[in-house]
Amino acid sequence: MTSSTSVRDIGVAAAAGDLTSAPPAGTLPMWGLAYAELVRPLLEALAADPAYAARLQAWGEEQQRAEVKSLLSRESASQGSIVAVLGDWQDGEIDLLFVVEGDLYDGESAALPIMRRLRAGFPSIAFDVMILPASSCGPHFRWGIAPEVLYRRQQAST
Amino acid sequence: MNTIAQHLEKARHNLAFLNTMDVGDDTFADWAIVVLFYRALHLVSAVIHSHGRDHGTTHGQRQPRAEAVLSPAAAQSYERLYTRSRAVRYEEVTSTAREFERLLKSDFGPLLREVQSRVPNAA
Repeated sequence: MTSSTSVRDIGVAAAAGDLTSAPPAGTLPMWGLAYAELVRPLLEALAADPAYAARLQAWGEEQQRAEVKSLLSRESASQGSIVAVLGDWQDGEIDLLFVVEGDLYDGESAALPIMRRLRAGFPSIAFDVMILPASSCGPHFRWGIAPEVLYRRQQAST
Repeated sequence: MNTIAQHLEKARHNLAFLNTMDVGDDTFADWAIVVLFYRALHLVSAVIHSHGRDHGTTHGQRQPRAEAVLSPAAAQSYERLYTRSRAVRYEEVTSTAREFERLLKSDFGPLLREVQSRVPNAA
């Protein structure tokens, strides 16, 4: 088997979308050559494509949102005074609303350390915050432009 | 506003306004809290400048910079004043003179003392 034949064969596999499977045993040098000659230029071309770059960025932001939501849910669940947390994402910034019950000062004392941990965990995101008592968030309450519920305390079962 | 002196002057200006308010009455407790926050904002901005840094233009930018130069307790007190001032301005949250006093003693007071230990002439 000549090296040119192997490269062509692997190139056919790559073109068919078979880039995730491990290279066959004994073909690693050929695979390295294929990567240098075929895969890397392909990835570079994709990265230079604005549509692909936008999709990659959107995917990254989606992952980050999921991580923020996970941290918020975990931390808020450990604070009995936090009823719900809403988030309003706008261009890499997030405005958070903590709805708390009981004494507002105590609710702030529960929510603000979470804000500090969020900033430490996600330094590239600018976080804004507001903390309101549940009594001020009635059925007609509106907040933010496109708010998403990031955490809601589960009702105690009867 | 870019200098420590300018921020300290603005903080003194806000203190002068606060001194004209009847903070023992519930009527304008919400506005007293707002003015107290803006006094804190300029004090914290002065500390950030004293470290040779810029405070940014939004809370999302200023708060992490405050956390970088203040103790955790002082940074949390500052953010409490921020979020409370935001709440009383925009939502149906009533405030009382007692709440103002609590914020003044439990949060602004310790914050001011920390600022004064770092920036001379802060008031």
